[in-house]
Amino acid sequence: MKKTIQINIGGRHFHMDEDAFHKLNHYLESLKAHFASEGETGKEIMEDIEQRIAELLENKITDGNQAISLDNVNEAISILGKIEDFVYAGTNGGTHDYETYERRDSRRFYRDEENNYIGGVAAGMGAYFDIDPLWIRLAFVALLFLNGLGILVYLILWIVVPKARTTTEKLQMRGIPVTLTTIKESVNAEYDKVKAGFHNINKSPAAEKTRNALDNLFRAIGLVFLAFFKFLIGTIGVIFLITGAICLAILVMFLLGFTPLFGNFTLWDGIPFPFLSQFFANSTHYYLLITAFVILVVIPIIALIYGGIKILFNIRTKHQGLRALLLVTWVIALVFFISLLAMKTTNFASETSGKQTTRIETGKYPRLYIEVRDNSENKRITQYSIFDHQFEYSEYDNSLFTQPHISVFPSDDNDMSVVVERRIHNAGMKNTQDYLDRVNYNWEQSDSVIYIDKYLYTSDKNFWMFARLDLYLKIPENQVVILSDEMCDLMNFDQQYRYCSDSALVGKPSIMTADGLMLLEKQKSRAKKNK
Amino acid sequence: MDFENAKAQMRKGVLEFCILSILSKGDAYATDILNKLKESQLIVVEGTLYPLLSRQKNSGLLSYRWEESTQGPPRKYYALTEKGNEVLKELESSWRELIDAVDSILKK
Repeated sequence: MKKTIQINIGGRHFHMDEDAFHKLNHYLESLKAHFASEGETGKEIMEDIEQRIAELLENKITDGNQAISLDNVNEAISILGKIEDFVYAGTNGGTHDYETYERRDSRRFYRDEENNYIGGVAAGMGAYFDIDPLWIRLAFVALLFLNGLGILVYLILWIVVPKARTTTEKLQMRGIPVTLTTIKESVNAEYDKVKAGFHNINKSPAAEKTRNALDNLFRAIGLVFLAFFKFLIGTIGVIFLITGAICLAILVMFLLGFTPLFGNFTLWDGIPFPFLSQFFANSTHYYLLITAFVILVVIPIIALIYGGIKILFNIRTKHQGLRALLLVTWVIALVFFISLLAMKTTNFASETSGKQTTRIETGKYPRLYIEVRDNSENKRITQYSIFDHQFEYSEYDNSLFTQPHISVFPSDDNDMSVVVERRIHNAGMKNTQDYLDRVNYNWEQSDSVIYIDKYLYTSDKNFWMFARLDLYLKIPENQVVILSDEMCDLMNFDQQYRYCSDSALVGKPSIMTADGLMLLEKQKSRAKKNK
Repeated sequence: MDFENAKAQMRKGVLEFCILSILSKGDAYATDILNKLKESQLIVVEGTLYPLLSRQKNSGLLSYRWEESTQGPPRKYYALTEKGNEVLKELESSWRELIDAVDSILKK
């Protein structure tokens, strides 16, 4: 069911669908506005046109179809023609009027779909610049080899530039050739006007003439200002276009090289800065974030180029739908970007840890030796620090080396146990064990000697885990141990102070007591005293 | 390149001439004129005609009267005035001249 409206047009009554009425009303209003300048004649023309519309619509009424539909109205309008179509014919004036019309509206950039190969962009451009479209096509093809920039530019122009539909638009498309000569001519014309303005002042003593001259002068100044303003607008357009193009080129290079942010930058000493992609445990998140980022950046770039083209080529179309779509897309991308980043940050802040305890029977060894094994041997290692985090980087196998934190405690029972505790950041919720396993650290027992690695290492891909490792050596009481000198570097600050300062027990036999390690000699003399 | 413009100019000049000659064969109302012009494919959109008619009327080439119609409201019938007749004759002779001139150039 549709609402119909009763109207009276050209002395006839019609029932008309609401949408049809609005369309017709809009059409008639636009005609009325156009002919308004002609006063009585305009009114007469309108009456005639309404009469004709009534006639056309009347033919549409049959027994089965009593109400005028939107299609009927559209058909009538297409028969009568759009306002632009009868403006061009210059029927409300002679040739003279037509020329001023052409002068007033300088040429505009339209797509020429009559001489097209694809979307008529090159043909339209050729018409605009008054050159053979072949050159423009060649330029597009050349741009194609520049990271395919040509396709992108072409697509944007295809979307942005309207096609020349009416004859008026087709004429405007060609217009007055914008060549150096015509630019020079128009500048000369402006100059002459200004000169004439000054001339008049000098030569006419009569008051009226002076007024005329002043009038001319102001008009000339106005023209100069107008020219300057146009120049300024044009410059802004060019700046928009160039900025957009540069941003676009950078983005395209970034995407094609597929160099993730920060990657391939060397920090110092030739160490590559960790890739941003390594920041992500989950690569889907990484690609989502990058996509969101690209959209966030591309839309303003497109807006810049679009604005630039519109200003430069004097295009006055509005793509409301497209604009809304772009805005919505941008906002969605922004939301994604922020939420992914927030998720990442919380992920990053959380720490995951895992403990591994191994028991060793040590009862049969009167003396236990703990040696540090340098597992970074023969690997070129450079030190650097990021975010207060010390790293050693090996170019040899692209891995990061970090020193463990070692502490020595008395054991709860008669066995020795080695506890390896790994702590990592940024592992996400799932598969934490998998990430923990990426922290490589080994120790080994060989009879009475326990070798512990000097470094834990992770592949540089796992940079953002900021791995940390604590090694707890729990030694049963009364066990005699000899710690190697090198352990001092790895021990906790308080243990370092206790065991490695002046009364150093490293390198000497020491015994585990309830209070910790003690030099064997000291313990023996104390025992003697007690006796 | 710019033949679109030339075509439009040519067509416009001829259109006025044709309206006058259609009316010289008898009074007609707008739709009659339109049908004849469309038959000979001189106009594409009808809207072009109305401003032309009123301009010719204003310059005294045409006059109009209202006539009752068997179907619907009264119709506006256009007729050629004395002045219109003179202008038409002038146009006709210059049209012949023009055709001869163009023909002679084309044949060369």
